[in-house]
Amino acid sequence: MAPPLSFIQQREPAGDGPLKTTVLIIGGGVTGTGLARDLALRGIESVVVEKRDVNAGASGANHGLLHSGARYVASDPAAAAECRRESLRLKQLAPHCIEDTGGLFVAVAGDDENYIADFPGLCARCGIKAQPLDGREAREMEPCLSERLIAAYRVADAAIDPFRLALDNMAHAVQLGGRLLRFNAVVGFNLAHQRIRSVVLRDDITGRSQEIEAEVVVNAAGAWAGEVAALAGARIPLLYSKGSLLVTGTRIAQRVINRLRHPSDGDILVPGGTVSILGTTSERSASPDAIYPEIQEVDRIIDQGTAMVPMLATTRYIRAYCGVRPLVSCGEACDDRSVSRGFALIDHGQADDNPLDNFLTITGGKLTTYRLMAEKTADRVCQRLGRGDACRTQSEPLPDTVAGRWTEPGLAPRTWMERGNPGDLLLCECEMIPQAVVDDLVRTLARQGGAASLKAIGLRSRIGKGPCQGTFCSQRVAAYLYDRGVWQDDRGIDELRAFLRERWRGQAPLLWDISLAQAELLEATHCGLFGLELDPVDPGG
Amino acid sequence: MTTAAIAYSALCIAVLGSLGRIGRWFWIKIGPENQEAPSLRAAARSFAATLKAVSAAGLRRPLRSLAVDTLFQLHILKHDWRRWVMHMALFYGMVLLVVLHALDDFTLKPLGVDYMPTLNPWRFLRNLGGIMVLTGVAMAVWRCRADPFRKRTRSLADRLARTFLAAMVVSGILLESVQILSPAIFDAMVDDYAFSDDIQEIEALKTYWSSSWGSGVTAELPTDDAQILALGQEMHAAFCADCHDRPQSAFLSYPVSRALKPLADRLDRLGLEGLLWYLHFITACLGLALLPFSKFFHLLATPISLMVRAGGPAEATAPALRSVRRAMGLDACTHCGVCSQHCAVAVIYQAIPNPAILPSEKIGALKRWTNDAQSPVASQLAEGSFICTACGRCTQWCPSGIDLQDLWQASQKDLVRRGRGPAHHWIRSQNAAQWASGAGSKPLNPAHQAHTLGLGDNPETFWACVQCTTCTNVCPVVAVAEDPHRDLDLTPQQVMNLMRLQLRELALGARMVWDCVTCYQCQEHCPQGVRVADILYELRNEAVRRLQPIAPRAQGSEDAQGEA
Amino acid sequence: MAASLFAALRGIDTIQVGPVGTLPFASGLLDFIGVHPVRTGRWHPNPWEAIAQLRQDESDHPYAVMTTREMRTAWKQMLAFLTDSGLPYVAHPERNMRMINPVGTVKLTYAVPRSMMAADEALRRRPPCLLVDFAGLKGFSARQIAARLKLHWPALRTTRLPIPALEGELQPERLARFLERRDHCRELAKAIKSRLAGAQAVGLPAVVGLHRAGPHFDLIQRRLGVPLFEIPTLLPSVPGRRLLDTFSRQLPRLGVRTWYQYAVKQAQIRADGALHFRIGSAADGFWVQSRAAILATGRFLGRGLHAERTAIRENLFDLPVHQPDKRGQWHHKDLLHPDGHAINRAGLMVDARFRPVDKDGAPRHPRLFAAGSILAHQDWVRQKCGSGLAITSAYAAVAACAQIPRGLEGTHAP
Repeated sequence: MAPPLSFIQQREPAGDGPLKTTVLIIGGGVTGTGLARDLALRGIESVVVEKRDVNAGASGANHGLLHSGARYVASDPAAAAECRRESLRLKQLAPHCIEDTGGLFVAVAGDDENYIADFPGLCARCGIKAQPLDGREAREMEPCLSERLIAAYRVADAAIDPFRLALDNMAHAVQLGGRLLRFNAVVGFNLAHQRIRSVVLRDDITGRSQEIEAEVVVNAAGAWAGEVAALAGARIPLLYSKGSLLVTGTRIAQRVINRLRHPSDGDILVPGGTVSILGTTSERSASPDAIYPEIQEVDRIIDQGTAMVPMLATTRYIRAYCGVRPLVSCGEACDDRSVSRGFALIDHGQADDNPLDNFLTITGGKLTTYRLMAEKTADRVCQRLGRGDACRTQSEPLPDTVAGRWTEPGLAPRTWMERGNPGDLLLCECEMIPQAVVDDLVRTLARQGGAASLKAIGLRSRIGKGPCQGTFCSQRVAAYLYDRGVWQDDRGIDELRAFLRERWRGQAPLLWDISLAQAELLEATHCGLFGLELDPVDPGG
Repeated sequence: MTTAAIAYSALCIAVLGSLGRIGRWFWIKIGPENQEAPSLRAAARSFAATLKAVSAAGLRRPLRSLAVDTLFQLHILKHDWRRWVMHMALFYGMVLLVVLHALDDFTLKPLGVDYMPTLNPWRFLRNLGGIMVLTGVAMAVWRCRADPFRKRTRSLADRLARTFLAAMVVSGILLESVQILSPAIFDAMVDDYAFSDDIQEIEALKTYWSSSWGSGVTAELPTDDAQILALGQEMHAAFCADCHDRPQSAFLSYPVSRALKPLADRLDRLGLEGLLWYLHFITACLGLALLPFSKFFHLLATPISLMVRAGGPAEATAPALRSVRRAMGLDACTHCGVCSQHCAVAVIYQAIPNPAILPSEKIGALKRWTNDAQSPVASQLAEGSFICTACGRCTQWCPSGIDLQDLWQASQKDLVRRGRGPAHHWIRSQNAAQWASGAGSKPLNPAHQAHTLGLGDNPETFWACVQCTTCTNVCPVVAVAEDPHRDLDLTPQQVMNLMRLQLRELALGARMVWDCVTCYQCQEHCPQGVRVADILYELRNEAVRRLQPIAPRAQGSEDAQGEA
Repeated sequence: MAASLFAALRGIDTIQVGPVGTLPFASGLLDFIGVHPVRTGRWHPNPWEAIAQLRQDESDHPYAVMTTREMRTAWKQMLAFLTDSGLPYVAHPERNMRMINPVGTVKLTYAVPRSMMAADEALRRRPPCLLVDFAGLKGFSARQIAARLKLHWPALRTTRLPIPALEGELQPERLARFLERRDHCRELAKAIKSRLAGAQAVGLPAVVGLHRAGPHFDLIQRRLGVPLFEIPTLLPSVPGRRLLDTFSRQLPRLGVRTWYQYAVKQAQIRADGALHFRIGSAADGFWVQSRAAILATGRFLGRGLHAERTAIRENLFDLPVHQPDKRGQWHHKDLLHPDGHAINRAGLMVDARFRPVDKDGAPRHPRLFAAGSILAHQDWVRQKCGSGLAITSAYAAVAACAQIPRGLEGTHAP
């Protein structure tokens, strides 16, 4: 059996009275977990509260691209240089989360020639290496590329697993005394004397409320930072930019492939283990909730991507997803892509109206610069606290814990075959995930005090992520969890419904050709035979 | 004295070498019987067993075999008369030359017959032997050239043997022709045997020899003077006729000497006669010394093999003798190629250019592998060995009476035991995961996939799969497995999924791939038209290619169970 | 399959071409109609009432084009055929039967294999009942089924049986083949019996045999002495396989030429109005000329229809497909939306004689018919009418086909 996950030594909140900590971090994305680790390394205790699960927001819904910085050389040279420094650093400090694929910037006939001409100079100015290639060389490296290439450069892009990154950050923080509360939403703040006295949480699973007192509260809620701040009466002018991405059934290219043009839709193809991820779009959204990858976005991404990589027109797509980038607003007239992708650290103690001395917000930014964001925030926290050591995340390698591992494509089948335990049946055939992995995840979740829901298991593994998108694995896992006594009563129906609905969000915009046939089988099974869409019949009639 | 030393040395080498090679028959082990490490004691036991078996079999059949197969070679005549002519010419030509010429000191002279090399019938017979051997060699060369099949497989050993024979005979013919011609020899003979000081008489003898006996001496007297010729003839009758018959009976050498006549003096000045004599002598001695180390050894091995074979089929003999017979068989092969002409799988050689597919070449590879198990020929041999369908025709046709079929079966078992069995043997030595860890589990670079034609490399192959498990459900191999995961590693659907996930390394060594009976149920039932069986078949080929080099090789006999 | 059967029963010279398609995905239950109107999300106990209401509400629905008599005859002939072929099916003429699902929900369906019949009775009477499952059969947990049903059926117990001779994963068909042997069935009966403990009914996954399912089921039931019923498993299921085997075995005996290993690669309507089909592989094939043809090619999974990113096409004749305007309207954002997905009602529009029609309502060809799930204006998944639609529309299409004067029979053309 797999060793237990290390970071879950979760104590139940003490019965009465508020929980106390030094720093309360709201949001379990990559920034929040990174900040928890940064603080822990400085000897400062913290608690991370997350209203859903780790990386539930944009941290988990992005390309998984570790930018070399070349994408921003024209639009945001400062951010480009930051990316260059941080990506180099992460490659050294967290190599297990990164596949150092290298990247290409390619332009095809019809792309803006001026941008192409300026590109090498702009890269040089930001200190970013961009090695020119001729079309033949580029196509030799990546045969999937279009024959209509007119320019190609080789850069130091890489693929990064954001789930593993966040889980490893959190695991390290917990090792050093930090804590994580999942499915705990912030529902209110108790304020007094320009300070946050305590934060009110509601446990979304048990429904219980509790309070936490902290010396400093950091709002790292990403796209929800504005809503959280509003609960404390603070205002943050945030724009929501929705980005949708598509997952292909197979890995199409070995390297990251970027379109060499002003950043636009469908111009990055990033390898992610056994698949490739194509994106993205940028659509203004009114709220960070209830967002879907829309059909017109999907079509646009494919049409644009096809110019670079023709086989994207015909390949089988597995699913679509979207996330919301929080952009700190510069007024109504701004184009979302020109709004700084740099981060914003807001000290609410310096606000003109309703200042809160112990409240900070960190939002915006990029996955690539998460560590820098955490460092700058922690600096400010230490300044507020008047203590704390210097930052150590610049040089301390990120420990490789087992926490993030079942999300890695191909790991489950390899482990399953190595163990060669005949009784260990595969519950998910697409991604080849056996019972032992499900057992492992159930134990993990139990230790986290959370329930073993299908969605939670799916988040921590590749179950439901293969071509069948839950058609078979959902019921196989459900049956197994009943057999193991994890589930009782009629919970399974709701679980199946919730899980399949969640999967459907990513399938619905991609249903043509074979995916549609697959969806037909899904519906025939779960609606036609199981009648999951209907009110259950009382067996007596 | 020196020549005698050389001759006897050659003889010693030949005898000791032959003994050594015969000893090896009892030393090396081919086949599953008696797998202990080679030792003197084991060899002695084999020898004893052989003696026992031979004595038990009685002498009648082996002797009959000796007569029929060795002396008349009827077994060759039965299927190819041209080959029989060639072989008989070679064999009896050599017998003539060896008995009546090379060993004349030991054969003819002690018998007290009226023997002189220059007398008939000896001179005639020597030339007859010579022409037989040359004819045989010429036929062999021609057969080799004319038959495209033999042309591809002729070996250095064959050519070496032919060259030696030809060199020996040609040097002999040249020597004889020079001797006929040489004025110097004539003069020396006259000095030694013609007891006359009369210059005129001597001149007459010269003239007579020059005109009628082919001598190259320049006579100063006219050859058309009947008187002088009569005198010469008189002289000849008095001094020469006892030892010299007319040289025309040397029907090979004489014409050559006629052709060389204008050069007679020059040749003498060059001392060619001496040179040719040494050449002839050395080639003959070398031939003798090389006998055990060249193709000529079959002169010994083949008759013995034939005699032993006459004792009955290999299965019927004692286990110890079986191994001896196999080792004998390796030496008895004359590389005649008859087996390959009749081999049921010889056509495969056209597609897979591995000579070890052909029995005539496989036996050579086996010989080398027996000498050195690490020899690079091993993989060639292994491939060739397991293409064999055991039809048994090679044994049926082998003119040397080698039980080739038995040899193949035995060596196949040896190959299996040493981890060089056919793929379905060695693939089972590990499970799929172990193979994968050896093959390196990095996903293949799709950049290379675009250039390959394999079904499994093309992602589109798997796009249509809707994960319904039908292929696994209908698979008869899965149905009869006690535990599919344990017995087969993977089910067909799981193989497909690994391929789709680009984890083919994990699928490559799976026993499912090897147990697939290519019944095509999976493919025919697949509602989405995924070519399941074709992909399995393709994987099988790839596994042979990629896993064989990393297959673990059993070193000793303690791993002998590996073949199960 | 149904169309071939009905054609054969009418003595029409028939060739059935094409791979077996989606029949392996059948659950073994033959639905007629279970839900109407879809939006209410409620099961209809009486199919005929539901049909009557459906005819009023959805005049385009294929059921609305048929007469009740045709439907009854179709069902009668189909069930008789199956029963005569050794795969007995039963139906209550006037009501839907209740069946148990692997997820623990109850489903209403019209006709079921006899081996499942006792579930209906058990669900009504709710006697002490034992649900059996097997270690190694994935996606089928008696505990899961019981956990839900127990809320209304407290006397439900579960047990898990090991099959000592079969280790590891038990693929349903592997298990079914195992139970093709009488001695294995006897052992199974013995094992269940030892755990009965007063149960008055026993349910087990639908894996009791493939070809000898009937007698072996009876054997186990006899030995247990209490009613026994099979519960559908995850797809593809053994009952679906039994159906497939029965058709592919029996249709040739009725004179149908079954060419499952071939596919129609190309279809043409020649200038003289003859229907020509190229049959075989892409590289080589041969042409067959037929007097009439019935398209029963199914939907997307069956490959009768093909969806591109922008539109849905019919694969063989490129017939006009009734469909939503844009892909955005094909599916709801919610998988389980009570309205069902619009794309499921896309398909071929037909006239009263089941001939696909062009936009103007005229049939494309006088002797080209369509039947089954490829038809438009129905949502077989949500209305639970897949099998019924296939059977009745096939019957109706064949009936229309049979009205054509005889003369030209199917002939091979070089």
